[in-house]
Amino acid sequence: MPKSKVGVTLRIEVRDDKGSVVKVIETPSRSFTQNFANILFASMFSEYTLTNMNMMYNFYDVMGSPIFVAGLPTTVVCKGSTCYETPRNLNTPPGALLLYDIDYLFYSEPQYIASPYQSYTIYMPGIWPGASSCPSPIYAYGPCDPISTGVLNPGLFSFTSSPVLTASGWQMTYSQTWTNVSSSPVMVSSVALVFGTSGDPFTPNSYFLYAAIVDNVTPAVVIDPGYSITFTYTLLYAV
Amino acid sequence: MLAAKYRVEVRDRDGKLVAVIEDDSKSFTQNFIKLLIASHYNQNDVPTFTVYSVAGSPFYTGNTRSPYVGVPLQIFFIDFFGFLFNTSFVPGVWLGTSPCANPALANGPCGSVVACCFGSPYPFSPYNFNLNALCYGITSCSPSLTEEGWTLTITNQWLNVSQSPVPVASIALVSGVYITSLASTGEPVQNAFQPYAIIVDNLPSTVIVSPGWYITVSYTLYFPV
Repeated sequence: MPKSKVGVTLRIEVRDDKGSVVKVIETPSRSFTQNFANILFASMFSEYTLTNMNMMYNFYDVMGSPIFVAGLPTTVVCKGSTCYETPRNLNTPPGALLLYDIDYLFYSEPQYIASPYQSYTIYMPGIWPGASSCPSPIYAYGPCDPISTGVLNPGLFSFTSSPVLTASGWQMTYSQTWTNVSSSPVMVSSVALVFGTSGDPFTPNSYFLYAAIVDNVTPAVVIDPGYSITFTYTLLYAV
Repeated sequence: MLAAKYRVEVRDRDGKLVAVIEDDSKSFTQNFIKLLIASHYNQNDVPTFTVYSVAGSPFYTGNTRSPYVGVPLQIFFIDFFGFLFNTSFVPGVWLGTSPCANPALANGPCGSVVACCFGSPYPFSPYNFNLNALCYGITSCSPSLTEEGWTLTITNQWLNVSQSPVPVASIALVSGVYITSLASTGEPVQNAFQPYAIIVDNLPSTVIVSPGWYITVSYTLYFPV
């Protein structure tokens, strides 16, 4: 890493049912995921370049569904002065989701619950808790064993709304609080920063949730009934 | 997140290496951060930030002021074909003749922009681009996992095609977005491609590139793992 060592910090605060802080963990984040890296690379190119160069990227959403980014499903072939459209053989699995390109990369708002996630454990962008630690966070699709919103109830996912320049660089902060609304203690062993991504031919209201960062929480944190846990990711862009 | 490193190599007309500079990048730009923040929103509530293209032309995030970018999409766009579509711009690392007073607030490389595009009046012409090469030869096509994290490297090679030595004192990693303007009728009329700087750096000392010499500039972005 360059000497600025900029990176990502994860801060975890646990509060009791009266709002008093009972535990704080602050640690460097370890893992941008392979999914994030693949989506980022796909977003560098237009659908025409992806088509013409036969480039294909794939990633997995938080449910582990594979999504392919491969340009247009057809290409134009010319013979002499006659040109016609022909389907491309993309060799994707039958029924695979196919995007022509990547548009949104960091969608973070919960106004619209995308249809694939309406009945999933957690359904909106945010910082998601998981009950298990992940064997290899950089290859994880989300927090491992995500905890239902019926157990840990999410507060608003907040993120930086205007540029913040600190001595360490431009600072982007993401934060979310979850409250244990069950009657049993809950263990949090992993956490993930989840954004929405979209691309043609989908509309902006239809996005795929993916984990940009996954971290294990070591040691695991236990949240008693009525207690809350706040996750804060701070990302610094070197200056 | 995100750290970056740059490397500059100057070679004479015989290909002999005459200068190398490698250092940590100092400055993601304010313009980039504004686009990054705006990219988290949806079309209905995206904040209005003023962003400047490399040429210093203002445009706006959101949809309330024209010209506007709406919610910025593909803010890391480095597509050679996409840049060339209706422009002479070349994506990647652009060069300027002077250092910037404050790179984090600069719109692009400072002084005269001497490497950015195809054709005159610019003294540098792109040299390593190849329409048939994977990812046009300017960037890695897929992420590499190193000890330092996921890396993304973008490399441009510029040839001094002028008759004079050219100083290079600042460099910028340039991406681009499409913006829409409103006609007098209020109707959206066009999509214009606006290059903007993700990163701007001053070189520790000015590099002189003689006629017929090449300068190769790379940025590597690191996403920690």
